[in-house]
Amino acid sequence: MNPFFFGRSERPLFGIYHAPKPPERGTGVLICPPIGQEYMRTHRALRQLALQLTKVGFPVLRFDYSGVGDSSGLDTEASLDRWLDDTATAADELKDTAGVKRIALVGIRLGAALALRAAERRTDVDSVVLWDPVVRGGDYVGEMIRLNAPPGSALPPDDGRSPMGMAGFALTPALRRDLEQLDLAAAGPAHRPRLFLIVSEERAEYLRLRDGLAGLATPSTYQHIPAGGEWAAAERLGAALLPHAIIQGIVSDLS
Amino acid sequence: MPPDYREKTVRFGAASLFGILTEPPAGPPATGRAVILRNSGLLHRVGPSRLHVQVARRLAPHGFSALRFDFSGIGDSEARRDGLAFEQSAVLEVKDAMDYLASAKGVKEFTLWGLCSGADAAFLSAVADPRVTGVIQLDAWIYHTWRYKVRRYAPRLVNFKSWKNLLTGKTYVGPYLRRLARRRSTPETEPGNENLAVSHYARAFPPKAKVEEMLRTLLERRVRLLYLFSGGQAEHINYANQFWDCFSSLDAGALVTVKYDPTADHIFSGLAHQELVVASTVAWALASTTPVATKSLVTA
Repeated sequence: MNPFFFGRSERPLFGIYHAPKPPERGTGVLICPPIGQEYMRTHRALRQLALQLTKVGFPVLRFDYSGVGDSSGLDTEASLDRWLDDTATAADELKDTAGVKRIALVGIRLGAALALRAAERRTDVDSVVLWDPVVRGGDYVGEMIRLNAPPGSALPPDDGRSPMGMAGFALTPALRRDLEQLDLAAAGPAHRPRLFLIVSEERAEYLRLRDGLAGLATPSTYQHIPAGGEWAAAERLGAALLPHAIIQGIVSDLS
Repeated sequence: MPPDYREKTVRFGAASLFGILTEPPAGPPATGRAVILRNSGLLHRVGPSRLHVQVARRLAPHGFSALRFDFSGIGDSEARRDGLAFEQSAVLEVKDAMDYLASAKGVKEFTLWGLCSGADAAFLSAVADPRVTGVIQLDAWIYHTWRYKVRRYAPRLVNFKSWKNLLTGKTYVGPYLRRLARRRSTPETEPGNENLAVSHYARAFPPKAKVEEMLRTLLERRVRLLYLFSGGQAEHINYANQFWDCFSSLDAGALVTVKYDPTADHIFSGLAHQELVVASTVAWALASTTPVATKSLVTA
């Protein structure tokens, strides 16, 4: 495990590179984490995922977006474009560090949406794993805000100026607008890489995404692996997630 | 514009613990002081709502170094192989952190910062190591006073409807008793659910006399303490002066600062509550460079 800061000097990103065990594969894996409380809950699981991937020969990079985790910046400065830019920077860093030409992206929750959008902008991505992806950003915003709100309460209005709390993290009006425009099921470019959709529970939004992906020429698979995500459950906020079956499923898919 | 701090990844200790050291932009401070931020439960070094990162980076421009690190088996630090209980290994690993900062950065005085279980362990580490000159605890150990009980139970005692319901059988106490029994028997782990991990650290409050004795030890050493209490542990604290009533036998005034915000939750997750924690920490750190004249009590 090699932790380091990389990227622009005025906006360094934090990453941890996990070197592969031999025999090495020619494809690196970039892990795109969630944000906010989901980032905290999945930290240990993503470390485990990285270690398991290195055991089968993948070089792996975990990283934090700007304003998230140990990377520089404030959450009040966040935007989807900036996080996509960070993802591209991390993908290039992985290729340089590991000496590989091809990569795979593994994204969890909002990280899955970022991974797919980032992959659509590149030509060096072989595959993307979408683990419990955020499909519609508007639904996601509602779920996260309600985690701290009294049951049944209405979403607070966007006053266009002040950030609001989203389960302990700041949601600015700009990021909220970004997220509310996000719909992963909407058609993307034709050159999408191979997609693996892995879900811990069967939700309507996942099925909608699955059906949307099935209509594309790009090969895709859908797997339901029951495991305790329960992302919208307030009582799970303090519990770290360690879904061994999903981790094994991802390793198996990429292998 | 470059950040007004600089950070580097560090490894230290026999267990090769991993952490991130935040320093002022010009390098290690000449004050020889550093803050060590401890894990809370299973949360990794970033801290709840990124509090540890915020505290470290807001301290740096004021000339303080801060180390946030992962205990063995948490975050990105490997698990220990010596089988030590967490309560023992945590104290050892804070000592490892202080040894590292002393030898690598010339730090002579340490402030330990922690929330909940992290606060408990920071307190214990401070008692164990004379290099600790400051402790910042969020939702630390505190004990009931008569006034706490009055505030908690009096509204129910004087509520005529409550008595009437109980006496006429409209209040069925069975579910409450069952809930209480369940709470007492709840295990710290969740057997059968391998997908969720909860901390092996079951928070236990030592006897008040023991905490009072340790607090007296720290005060005799002239250790400064900042206590921040939230409304998130209302089962332990429910009014601003409770700390002083609880530990009234101690001459703590000049060295102890207490803040209580009943609107905050246990991890101070509200944006304003995060700012309260960060700003209070920075202000306290700056004030700790000069003698405190009087008892400091602020109620948010």
